[in-house]
Amino acid sequence: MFGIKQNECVGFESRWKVTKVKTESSTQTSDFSSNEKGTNTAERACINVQTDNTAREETAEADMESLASWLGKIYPKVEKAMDECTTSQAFRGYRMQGDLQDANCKLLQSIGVVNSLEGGSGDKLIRISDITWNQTGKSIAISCNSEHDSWCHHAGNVAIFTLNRDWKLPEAPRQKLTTESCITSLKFHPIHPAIIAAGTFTGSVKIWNIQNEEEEDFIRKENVHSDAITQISWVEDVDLSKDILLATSSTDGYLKLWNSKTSPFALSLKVSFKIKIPLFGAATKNTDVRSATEKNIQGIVAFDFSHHSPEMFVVALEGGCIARCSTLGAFELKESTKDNKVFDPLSKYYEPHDGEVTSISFSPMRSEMFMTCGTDGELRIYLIGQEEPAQVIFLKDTLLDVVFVPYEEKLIAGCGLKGMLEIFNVVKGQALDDVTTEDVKKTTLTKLAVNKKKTNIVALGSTNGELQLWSVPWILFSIK
Amino acid sequence: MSNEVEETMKRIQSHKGVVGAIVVNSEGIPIKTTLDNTTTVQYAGLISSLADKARSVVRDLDPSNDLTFLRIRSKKHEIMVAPDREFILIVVQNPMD
Repeated sequence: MFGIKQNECVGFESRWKVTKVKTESSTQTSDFSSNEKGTNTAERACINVQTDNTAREETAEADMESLASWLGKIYPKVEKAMDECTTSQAFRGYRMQGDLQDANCKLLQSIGVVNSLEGGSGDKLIRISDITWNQTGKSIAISCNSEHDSWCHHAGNVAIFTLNRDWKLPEAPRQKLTTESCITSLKFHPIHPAIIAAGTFTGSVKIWNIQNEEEEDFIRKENVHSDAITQISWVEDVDLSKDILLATSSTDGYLKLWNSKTSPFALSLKVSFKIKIPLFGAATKNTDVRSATEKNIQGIVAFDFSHHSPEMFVVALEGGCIARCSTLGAFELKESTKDNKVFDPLSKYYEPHDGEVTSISFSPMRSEMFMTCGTDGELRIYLIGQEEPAQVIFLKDTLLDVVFVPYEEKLIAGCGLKGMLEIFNVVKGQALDDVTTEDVKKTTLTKLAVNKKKTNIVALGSTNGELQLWSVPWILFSIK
Repeated sequence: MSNEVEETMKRIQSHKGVVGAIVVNSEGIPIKTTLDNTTTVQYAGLISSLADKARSVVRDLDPSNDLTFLRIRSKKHEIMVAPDREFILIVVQNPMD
């Protein structure tokens, strides 16, 4: 383990001090920079305005001579076209499919007629008895009367209003006409726009020409009937070349036709008709209470002449009896005299109403169809060849006046105890709901008149003497 | 002659419901008018090109046929166009109903 080894001597230089080597270095980062980005949605509005291209005034020289001759040549043709435009009925009530959105009647105006008519006589006029539009559709005449227990002591009044350019009624009537007793029926002449006829409670007839505002231009005929006149109408003569006839009906049982001349006024009796009620069938129940002398004559409540054949007419008698008559082929009655010819024009009876008939009228579109309405709450459509009604519409409220809507064969308009315009669809046999959204005070409506020129304007008269003008889009109701 | 033209224009204008009348030449430039400038230029340009189109339709359908009269019924107006080789007469009318 232990040995002896000798090693060479090795010397070491002493190194006790070492110089320190120092190097310095530095690093410099690049310049500090910061970036910020913000996003924010901004609202922007942009309006562009494009002005119209200014109309360039182009003047062109033209050969005036050839233009004048051409205009002269073309003028008659253009004139015809312009006339057609104003008179044509082709687009009456026409609306495009897009317009057929809301079928709603609008109340245009409502005025109290009674106030303007009461002329200090102390008579209280109560209800509107009749309304009539003239042939141009610009004037409307309204008559008022009172309730009568027995004889009439009142003076009859007619107010005539002329519509403004914007189809509004003025506050005050243009003209007032008076009669000796209450007016039961009033009708404008179908051709002459200034002639108006009225039938009174005491059985007289008065015809005015309202053209002359200053001087009274009229004819009065007393004792036309021995009882109250129920209806007055202008009807075409069978001989169409002759003047229009005046027809009057009364509760005395006569329907009389009068030859009328307008200038100067003349009224002469043409013929009288008396309609017997059937002695058997459904109407006999009305006969047994009558005395023997008058058992088969009853007063005429309403009548209407056919629009298609002027000799044919339908009448409604007291007690609900309905009959079709003809002026041709009527046979003369025994009581007939040379001056006063009385005929029985009866052709056919129809199933009678159980109540009084309030209105009877022929369809303006279909020659074989007529309608009746009674206080028994039934609106009936008859065909002339068929005794039973073809359609019966049962009413909730009695109607006091009904009319066929012009140009809309499916529609019937009426008014009555409901206090609203009512529209019925003949085909569906029911009343249309939601005729209007207007909120109007409900008072019994006595009369309804459709404007002849602007058929969407309807006038309604109420029992408190108020006249309402409605705008009714018939075409929308017909497709409803 | 110009008087005669004015006279006829007045007669047309005085007709019931007429809004205005324009006579346009074959290039669609108005020669006589009873309407204001802007309306006239608009009607003249548009109606004359419509009348040209209508005429070409009629002729295309039957080369022996020709357009004699054009009526345009709109909600507000009725526009009557009487076209001819040299002139076109445009009458704007308010219909009754």
